[in-house]
Amino acid sequence: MTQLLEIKWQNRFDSLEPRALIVFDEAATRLKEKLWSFDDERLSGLQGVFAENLLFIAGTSENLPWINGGIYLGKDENAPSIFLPTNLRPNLPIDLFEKSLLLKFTEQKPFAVLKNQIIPVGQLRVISRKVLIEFKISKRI
Amino acid sequence: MLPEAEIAFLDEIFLGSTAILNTLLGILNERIFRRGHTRMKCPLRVCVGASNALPTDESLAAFADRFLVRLFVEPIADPMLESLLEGGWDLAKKDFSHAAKIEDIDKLSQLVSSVDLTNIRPKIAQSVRILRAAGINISDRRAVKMQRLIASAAILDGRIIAQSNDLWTLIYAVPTHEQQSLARDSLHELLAETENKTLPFAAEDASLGALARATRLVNIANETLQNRPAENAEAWKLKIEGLAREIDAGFNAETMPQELAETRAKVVEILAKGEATNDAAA
Repeated sequence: MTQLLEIKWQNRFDSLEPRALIVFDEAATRLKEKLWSFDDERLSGLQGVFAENLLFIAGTSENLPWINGGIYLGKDENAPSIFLPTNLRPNLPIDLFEKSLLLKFTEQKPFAVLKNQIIPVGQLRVISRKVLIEFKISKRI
Repeated sequence: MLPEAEIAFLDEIFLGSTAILNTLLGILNERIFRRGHTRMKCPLRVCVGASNALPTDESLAAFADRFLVRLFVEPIADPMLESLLEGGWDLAKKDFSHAAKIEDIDKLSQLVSSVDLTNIRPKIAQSVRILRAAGINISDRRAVKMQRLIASAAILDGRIIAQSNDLWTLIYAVPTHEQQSLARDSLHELLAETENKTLPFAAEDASLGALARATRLVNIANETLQNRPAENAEAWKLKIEGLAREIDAGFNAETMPQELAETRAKVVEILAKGEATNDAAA
């Protein structure tokens, strides 16, 4: 019998350095508009993946944009394959947490682990204006 | 010069000869300068020594132990270079007319002696036990002197009763860089309430505590918001955006301290105006 273990999240004593930003729904639309205002040099320092209602942007801390409603993600040195919220950590040893996720989601790493969902972010592309045009954020928002 | 100095900065302090270091030891321990038959009372209040490395030689290590506070200075990280350059450039233009006088230092020092440590003393003892259990050598002399640091933190936070907020100073009394990192980890629960109005950067650096970080961010945000340039506000807006990023990366909305939440709201309002401008331009 497989036993499910409930993961609880707790505040980090020392927050992680932001390495990515994930936004959903209306905030994703606003972030897309904001990216259009960036010059080509700043854009080229960012990589991203997008889906219907979300946008994931990776880059250096100082290059990442800010948008209200965004969630910053970073990497714990003991779990380098997953992006975690910069200000939260699971209530389990972080290396074991990563290993158990990798066993279950072998094909999809790296992925972003949020409080209530896991999002594969393996297909990162350097963001250019051409890529921005392809970002089709849902019009239902 | 040193025998007459009230505040001294001694560069490469461990490179002095044995005779010089013995003389220094007399000044540091007893505030007395001795040379031959000459004995002179020294008015020294603050002595800062700088060195590229801590001594490993036992006799020098005993001398180094007289320096209670240890600050390990790292090069500025690349992302902070702009702030370093700006700060360095502005230094010459700073108005130091409100600089503290030696009488102010004496007054603060007197106040430190009157601080009530009764309630915090069990936690100081507990901290020292935790540090020793972690393999960090805290000499009895150092443990006793640590109380004065804690009392100083209370005074600089506007109190004459020391409390848990002030324990962060213990980190700076830990002798080596590696041991200070270990001490932060070992004491992190005891340091969770760290806060200091006058020394927010030092309190945050020592404790890595959320409250201290929040205080620093509020101070920086208030200063930045008050200094909006009349023209070419782009760099200023980037600074505001960097603050918003640091706030959101470091705190959850549910657990963010109230004062920081209010500051964030002001920051968001300014950035939202910028977004509206971008939308109009698009």
